[in-house]
Amino acid sequence: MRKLAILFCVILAGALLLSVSPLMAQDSSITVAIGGDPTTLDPQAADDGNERAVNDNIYETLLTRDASMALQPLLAEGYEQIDATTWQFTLKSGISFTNGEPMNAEAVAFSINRNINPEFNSEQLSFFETITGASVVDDLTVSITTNGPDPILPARMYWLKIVPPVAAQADGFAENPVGTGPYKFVSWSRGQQIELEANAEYWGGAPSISRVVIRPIPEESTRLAALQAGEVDFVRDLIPEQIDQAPVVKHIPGLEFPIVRLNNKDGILTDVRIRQAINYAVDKEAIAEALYGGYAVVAQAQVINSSHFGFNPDVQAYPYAPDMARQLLAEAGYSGEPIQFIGEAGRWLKDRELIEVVAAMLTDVGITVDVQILEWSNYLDLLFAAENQPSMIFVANDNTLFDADRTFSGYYSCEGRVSSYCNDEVTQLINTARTETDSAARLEMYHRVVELTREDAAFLFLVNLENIYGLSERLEWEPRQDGKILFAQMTLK
Amino acid sequence: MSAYLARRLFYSIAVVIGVSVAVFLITHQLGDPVRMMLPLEASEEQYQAARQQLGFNDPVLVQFARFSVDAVRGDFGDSLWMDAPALPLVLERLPATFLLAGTAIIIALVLAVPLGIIAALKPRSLLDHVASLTALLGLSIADFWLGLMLIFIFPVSLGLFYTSGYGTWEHLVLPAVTLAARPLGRISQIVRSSVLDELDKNYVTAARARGLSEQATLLGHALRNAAIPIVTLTGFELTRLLAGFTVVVEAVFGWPGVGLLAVDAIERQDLPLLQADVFVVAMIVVVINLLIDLLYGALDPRIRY
Amino acid sequence: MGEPLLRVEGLRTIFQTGKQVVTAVSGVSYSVDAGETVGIVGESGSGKSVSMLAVMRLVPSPAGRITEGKIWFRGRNLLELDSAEMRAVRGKDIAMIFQDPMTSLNPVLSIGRHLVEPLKLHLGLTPSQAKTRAVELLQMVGIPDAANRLNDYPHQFSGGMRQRVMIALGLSCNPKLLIADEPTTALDVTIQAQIIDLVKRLRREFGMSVIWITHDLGIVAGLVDRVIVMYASHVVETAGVDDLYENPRHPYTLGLLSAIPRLDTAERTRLMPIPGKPPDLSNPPKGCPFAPRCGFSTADCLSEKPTLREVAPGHFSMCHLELSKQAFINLREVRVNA
Ligand SMILES: Nc1ncnc2c1ncn2[C@@H]1O[C@H](COP(=O)(O)OP(=O)(O)O)[C@@H](O)[C@H]1O
Ligand code: SF4
Ligand SMILES: [Mg+2]
Repeated sequence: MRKLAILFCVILAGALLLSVSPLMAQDSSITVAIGGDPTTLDPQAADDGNERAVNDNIYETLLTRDASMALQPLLAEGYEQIDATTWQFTLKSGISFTNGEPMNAEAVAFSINRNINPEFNSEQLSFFETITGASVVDDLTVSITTNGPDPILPARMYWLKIVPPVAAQADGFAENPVGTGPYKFVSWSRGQQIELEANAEYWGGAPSISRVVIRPIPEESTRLAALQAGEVDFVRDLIPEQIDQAPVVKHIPGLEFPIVRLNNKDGILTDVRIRQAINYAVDKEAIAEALYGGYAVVAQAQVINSSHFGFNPDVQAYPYAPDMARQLLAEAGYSGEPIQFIGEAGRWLKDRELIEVVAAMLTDVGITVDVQILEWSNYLDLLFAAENQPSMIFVANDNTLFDADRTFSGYYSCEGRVSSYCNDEVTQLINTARTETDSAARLEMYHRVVELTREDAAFLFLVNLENIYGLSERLEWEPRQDGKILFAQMTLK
Repeated sequence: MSAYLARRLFYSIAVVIGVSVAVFLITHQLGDPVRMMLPLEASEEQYQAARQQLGFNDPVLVQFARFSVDAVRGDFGDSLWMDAPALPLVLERLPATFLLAGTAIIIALVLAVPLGIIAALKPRSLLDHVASLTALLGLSIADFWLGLMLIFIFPVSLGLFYTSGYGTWEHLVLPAVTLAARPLGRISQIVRSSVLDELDKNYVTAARARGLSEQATLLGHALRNAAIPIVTLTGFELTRLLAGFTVVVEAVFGWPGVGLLAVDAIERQDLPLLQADVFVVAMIVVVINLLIDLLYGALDPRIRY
Repeated sequence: MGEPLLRVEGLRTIFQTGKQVVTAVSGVSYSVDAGETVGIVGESGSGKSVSMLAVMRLVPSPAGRITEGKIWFRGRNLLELDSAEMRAVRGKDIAMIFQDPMTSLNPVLSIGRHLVEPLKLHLGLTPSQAKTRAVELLQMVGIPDAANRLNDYPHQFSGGMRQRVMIALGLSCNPKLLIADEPTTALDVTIQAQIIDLVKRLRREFGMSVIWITHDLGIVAGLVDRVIVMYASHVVETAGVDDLYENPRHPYTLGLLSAIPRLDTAERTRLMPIPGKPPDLSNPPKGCPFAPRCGFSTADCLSEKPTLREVAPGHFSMCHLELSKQAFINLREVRVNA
C-alpha cells in the first residue's frame, strides 16, 4: 500500500523532470504568434483563420491579389470565360509540389472537385457554391463549370488552394500539408507549434526568411508580452490598448464590420423612420475613437470597404444627429415601446462594450432598448431564426471573398440566410447581379443596392475595424487588407 | 481487497458510462454544432447537407446507438472541427496537462505543508497571520491576473523564463506557479486547521506526557492523522486541474494542455471531442480517487477494504 | 521522612481567552511522599486535571499559563527546568494516564510503536530490546497474546485493554510518580475493578507514588493513603484517608460524605451532587468560594477568603470555622430548629 503511494509520488516527480529540447532562434528564422491552434492543416476543409495563417504560406491558389487587392495570376498563367458557365484557366508550367507531384491541370481539377465534393463536407463550401466541376483540357489547361453565370468565379479562385492529388488522398494529409508555396511544412505539435522552412526550390524564388515557427498564444496580453520579451517577432490581433507597448505596430483597415441588423419584416422597426433614427442616434466617430482607440474607421453605410467589388465610394455614413433622430421618432409616433436588442459577448473584439455604448446612445434619444446578451448557441438560434426575428441583433461581418455578393445575398436579400431585411427592389438587384457577367453593369447594381440600403436603413451601420499587428524591431513587413500573413513578404533588417 | 477493487471497478465503469450518456444527452439539447462550424453566410442547402453528412439528421436514438457502439471500442469518432480522431487528440495533450498540474500540485504541497504547520504551531502569532494571509491571497487571486503579472515581471521585465510555450522546465515555471496559487492557499489552510485539530487531541497530550519533543509529536503523531484531509483536498485539487481547470492558465501561457481543447470542444459543441475528453477526464478522476483511497488505507489502519 | 517526592506550593494556573481570565488552579499546595498514593476528589471543573497538567507542564498554551507557585520534584523546581530537561522528566520520572483510553492512543500507530517510543527515548534501548520489553510490559498489564498484538492498532483493542496499554506505557520507564486522571471513569464497573487491582499490584512492584484523581469516593477509600479535596480551583481539605472519612473538617467534604449512605463499606457510590453550582471561575467570589452553597456561612465567609490551615495533625482545612464533624452536625441542627 505504502509502495503505491511512493510510486505515485515518483511518477509525479518524474513528470516534472521530463523536458524536451529547447528551441533557439536561429539567424534567419522568426517566430510568429497566432491566436489559436489550427483545427486542421487540410487547406480545403475548414473555415479557420488560424489554419489560413499557416496554409497561406504553404499552398497557393490560381489567382492572387496584389497590395491593392486587384486579382492577379499566381499558379494560373491566365484565364478566360468560354461561355456563360464555363471558365478556362491556363497554368504556369514547371511548377511542382514540394513532394515532387507536378502542379498541372490534373492537380487543379482534382483540387476543385475535392473541395466541392459533398462527401468531403468542406466548411468552405459557401465560397464555391456555384461551381459544378472542373476537368482537364490538356496538361496545363483546366475548365471550370458553374451552375449559372458566375461573375465572381475568379474571386473564388483566390480562395481555393491547390493540393497535390496523391498526397491529398493519402492518410494523414490533414497533418502533413504539401503545397507549391514559398514555405514547406516541417512539423506540427498540436497546441505547441508549427514549424515551416523556406522552400528552396520555390518557383517564385526562395523567400528571405529561412524558418518560421508559428505558435498559438490564445491570450492577447501574452502575445504582446511574448513580443516584448523577444520570444516572437510577429503577433496578430493586437488590441488597441496594447499598441503603445509593442516595439513596432502595423495596422490597416481589415474586413471586419460590426453592425446591428435591423428587422424591417415585422415589429416596430418596419417603420423606416425609426430605423433611420437609430442610425442618426449613434455617434460612429466616438465609437471608433473611444472603443477602438482610433483603430477603426466609420463605415460608409455599407459593410464592405474599398477593397471589395461593389463598394460605393459616393455613399456616406449617417451623420451623428441626435435631434434628427428624435424628430424622426416623433414623426413615427414612437412612444417608448421597448425594442429588443440581442447581443453576445466574447466572440468579436469588444462586442459587449459596443452593444452597451450603442444601447446608451439609443436611450439618449428616447428609445427604450431591451438589451439581451445571450450565450453563443442561443444567440445563433436568434440570428438564424426565420420567424420572430429580433428587432435588433448585433453581428460582425467579414467578407473574405472581396465581392459584395457574399455579404449582400446573405444579409440584404429577402431570402438571405442571415437576413431580417426585405426589400423587393434590393433582392431583385442582388439576384440579377449574381449572374451578370458584365462587370461594369454588375458594379452599377451593387452601387444601387448600397444606396437603397442606406436610405432604407437596412442596418445600423457602424465602423470598419482595423487589423493590428505587432512586429519586433528587426522584422520588416507591410500588412495587407485581406489580412493574409505572407512570410515570404517579410524580411529581417 | 480484490473484492473491493472489483466493486470499485464496477462503480467506475458505471460512472464513466453515466457521465458519457449525460454529456451526449446534454449536448444534444444545447444547440446546433453544424451551424457553428459553417460561416454565417453559408446557405441553407449547405447547412442541411453538412447535417446530413455528419449524421445529425438521424433520430437521437440512432445517433446514440452509433455513439455507444463505437465508444465501447474506444472510438469516439472524428472531431467535428479538427480533421482527426477525437480520442488521440485528447490523449496527445494529456502529458502537458499532467506535467503542468502535477508540478503545480507539488509546488503547492511543498510550500503549503510547512506554511500550514508554521501557522498551526503558533496560532494567532504574527507568523500565523502572515501564513494565513499568504494562503488567502493564493486562493483568492485570479489565476488570469496572477499569470499576467508574472509574465510582466519575469520574462518581460527581467528576461527570466518564458511568456508562453512548452518544452523546457523554464517554460513550465510560470504557469505551474500560477496554477499552484489556489491549491497552495487551500492546502495550507487545511494543513493549519487539521494540524491544529490534531494537536488538540488527547493522544497528542498523552504523547507529550511521555516526553516526546514537539517535533516528534508533530511529525511522528499529529501529521499522520492530519494527512487524511490534506490528501483528500490535494487529490481534489489535482483532479480539478486535470479535469480542465487549467484552461485559463493554458490560454495565458499558451500551454498545450487538454483544458483549452475541452473548452473549445464545448464552445463548438464538438461532440466526439467532448465525449472523448469527458471519457478521459472521468477515467482520470476514477483512477485518482482510487489512488487516494489506497493512500487513505496506507495512512489510516482503521480504513480497510 | 525527609523531603516529599512531590511538593506543590501556591500553584496558580489561569486560562486567558480574549478578555476573560479563568483561574483553574488558585494557590494550591500539597505534597506526595515517596511510595504514597494520594487521591484527589472534587466535582468536575474543580481544577483536578489542570493542576496535574501543571505538574507535567502540559497546560494547553497559549491560553493556559502557570502564573505562580513552585513544583518541587526530587529537589528540583520543575517550573525552572528548560524544555529538554522537562521532557526528560515526562514519561521517565512522572507518567500520566488519562481518563479516556479511547482517544489517548494515536489511532494510526500500532501499539508496538507506542510502546517502543519512550523505551528508546528515555532508556536508550535498541529497537529489538525495546520490542522485547514492550512484550513484557503488555504481559505485565495482563494483555493476552502480547507478542502478536504489538502490530495491532488501538481500534483493535477494547476500552479496558486500551487502558491497560496506557498503564503499560506509563510504567514503561519505571516512573517515580504515576498520575492517573480518572483512569476508570470511562470504563464499566467490572473493568474498573480490574484496573484498580492492577494498579494496586503494580504500585507495589514498582514502588512508585500514585496520584489518583477520581469522582468515586468508594474507590478512594480502598486505594489511597491520603485524600486531597478540591473545590472551585482550591484545595479545601486534605487528610489521611481514614481521618478524612471519620472526621471531615470542611463543610464541602461533609456534604460529599453525607451524600454517601455507608462509608464503612466498600460499596462504591458516585459523588452525590450538593445543591447549587460552583462559582464562576472567571469571576470568583471575594470570600470563601464555597460560601454560596455552604450551610454554615457567616458574614465573614462572604468578605474574607479562608486559608488552608492545619486543624489537626496532618489534617488541613480551608474554612473559617475550625469545627469538628460533630460540631458541624450540631450546628446544623441548631440552624434547622431555629
Ligand atoms: N483548555 C482550557 N481552556 C480554558 N479553560 C480551561 C481549559 N481546561 C480547563 N479549563 C478550566 O479550568 C477549570 C478546571 O478544569 P479541570 O482541571 O479540567 O477540571 P476537573 O477537576 O474536572 O479535572 C475548568 O472549570 C475550566 O473552566
Ligand atoms: S468558610 Fe464559611 S462558607 Fe466557607 S466553608 Fe467555611 S463556613 Fe462555609
Ligand atoms: Mg478532569
